[in-house]
Amino acid sequence: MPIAELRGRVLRLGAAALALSAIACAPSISPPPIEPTDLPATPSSHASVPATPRPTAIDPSSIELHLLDAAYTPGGETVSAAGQILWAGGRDRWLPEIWRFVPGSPTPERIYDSNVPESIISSVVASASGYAFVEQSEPAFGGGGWRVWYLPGSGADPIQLDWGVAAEAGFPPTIAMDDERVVWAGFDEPQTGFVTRIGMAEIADIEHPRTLLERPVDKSLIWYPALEGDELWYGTIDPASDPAAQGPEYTLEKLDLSNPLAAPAPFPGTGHDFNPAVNDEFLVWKANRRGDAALNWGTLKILDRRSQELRTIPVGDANRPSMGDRFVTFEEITHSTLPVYDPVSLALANLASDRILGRPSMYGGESISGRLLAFFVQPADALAQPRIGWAILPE
Amino acid sequence: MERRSGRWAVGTVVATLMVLVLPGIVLGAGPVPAANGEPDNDTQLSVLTPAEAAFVAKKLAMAALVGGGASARSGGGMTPSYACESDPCEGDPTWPPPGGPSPAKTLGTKARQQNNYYYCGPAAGQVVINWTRGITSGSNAGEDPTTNWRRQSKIATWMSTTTLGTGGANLAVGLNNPNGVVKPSADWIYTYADNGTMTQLHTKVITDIDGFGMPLVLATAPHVAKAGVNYLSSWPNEYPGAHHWIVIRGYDGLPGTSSPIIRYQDSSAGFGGSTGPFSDSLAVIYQVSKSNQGGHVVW
Repeated sequence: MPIAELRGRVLRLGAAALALSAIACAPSISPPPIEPTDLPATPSSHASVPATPRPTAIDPSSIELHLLDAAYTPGGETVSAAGQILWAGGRDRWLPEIWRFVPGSPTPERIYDSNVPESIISSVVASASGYAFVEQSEPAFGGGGWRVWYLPGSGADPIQLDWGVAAEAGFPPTIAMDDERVVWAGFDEPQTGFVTRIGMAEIADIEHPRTLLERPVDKSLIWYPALEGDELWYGTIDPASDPAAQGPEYTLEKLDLSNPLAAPAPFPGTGHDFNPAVNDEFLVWKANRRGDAALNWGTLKILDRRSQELRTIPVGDANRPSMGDRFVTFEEITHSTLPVYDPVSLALANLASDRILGRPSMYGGESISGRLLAFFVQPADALAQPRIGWAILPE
Repeated sequence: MERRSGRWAVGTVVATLMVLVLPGIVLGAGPVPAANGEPDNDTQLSVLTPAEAAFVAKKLAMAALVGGGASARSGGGMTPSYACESDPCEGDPTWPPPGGPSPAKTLGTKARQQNNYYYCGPAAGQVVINWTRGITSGSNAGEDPTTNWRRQSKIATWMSTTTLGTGGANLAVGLNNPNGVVKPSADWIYTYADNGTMTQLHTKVITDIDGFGMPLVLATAPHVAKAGVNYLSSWPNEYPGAHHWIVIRGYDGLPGTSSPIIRYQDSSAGFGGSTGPFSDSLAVIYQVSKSNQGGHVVW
């Protein structure tokens, strides 16, 4: 049944819901030319910043790549957050554990071990305020059931922030976190009608999560939230667009968390935009070819939020961009490179080195926060489990 | 309509609307498992007649020439790695051309949404059959007779699909049904075979797509835990134990080139994956297939 968009109602989730509760290096790549842009001004929290000297391009040979012991195998993606590397792991084929490694510490530490049967922790994020993660378990939550949890610290009891069922959607929520908030975007399928929604919990009021936005799934499918101050960016697929031939359009939108009654602001990109990553200076996102599925590989666009210069990161097929203090990283389709892009010097560097494993290697799970780059690497010529790597990038 | 038909999903339109129109059916369906479209231990390859075996031998000979181009014919290229004892091993004298196969080619197939968790085989077959029948509708509804050569459920009967999925040999039988694919040559036959090495899978893809204009159907384990990079882009989350068929529709890069890419279409929105066109590296595609019962392809 149609459900009016619940923007502005800022629903509190019910108590019942809670109860349910470098080595060798490739040369840097020349920067691309500046593209003309017709994109409107995008508000920045830094309206006027004096020009600073352009830093020199990163020298891959100056970056030391580190590997964790092979005993620590990432179940899914590796995540750089709040000065640590996070991953889900566990026994057999389930992923009930959350692990972290803080560079400088002797060994990784398991910070959470779920007692939920057949648990799969599909996403984990962190900030100085703790951790948040998404968990699935068919025996415990039902088919397609998911939970969003906040974990104050290692060994603490988690606090449930949201729950739902995405049996028809087939995908658990995606999640983001900063020092003040946890946000998630996902799907739920109550008898009143299937919806996609964005939830938020403020750390200072963690027991009272809210729904910021809710839409019927025939209007919108919301993915990949990204936080920057009071800005909440996300990707939304319009299932009803272009039904004839080439598949739906997908775009970026932004919510102003300082004015939660305001309508979402659409971002006028290419019509096939997804996977936003943002800081106060730059917005990065993936732009796909018309007809491509939203989850497919695409081209990464980067917008200088002060100058409004729009550029393309010169990699043909990329996905899942991540942005730190200075550098952008992402996965690329061949997995043969470990890319970092400097949007200031406009240099793209490849930190990959066959010396890290002593054989041709494939890289994935690239993630940056601050200066900490996390990734995993595995042999290119054999079916072998990945190993976790990390590096500290220049300021 | 099949129970749980018409999944809404990423990249789909019709499926979304069908679910919303029929909430009672959907909501009463209970837990939805991930796509699991191939039985365990599906290692029984196609049993071929002598004529069919001769055609397969011809294709293998053609595949062995890929990468060597004309020079391979004169003995300067890749050494055929397949057993070959008779005339069919001379291959098709018209392909690959003297300049070698196309360095990149993608067929204009159109994705279809699988009707239920075990229908990825029929959905993949529907994509292939539609392609050969000139069906160009972008609607991904599998049961609409106006936008498909045959309904997905009909193709499932040809493939002897059950709740355990579709075996590879049966999938090939369904494609070869007289009302199935339009054959590009009189002796064409789809068969269920081992992938062989990564290069051998690559040359199979190139042979079928560039040599015959025919898609392939690949068996995969789409996203096992701790896979690292080796999962389908259409399956961003782990789904332990899933067996899944996808349509291989294109490639970019020949053997010997750096990091060839494989283009494919998935049907699994609502069952753990997505529906639509996707790409991944040959190395990833090979490993997700190898992880699934050793690696098999219908080609």
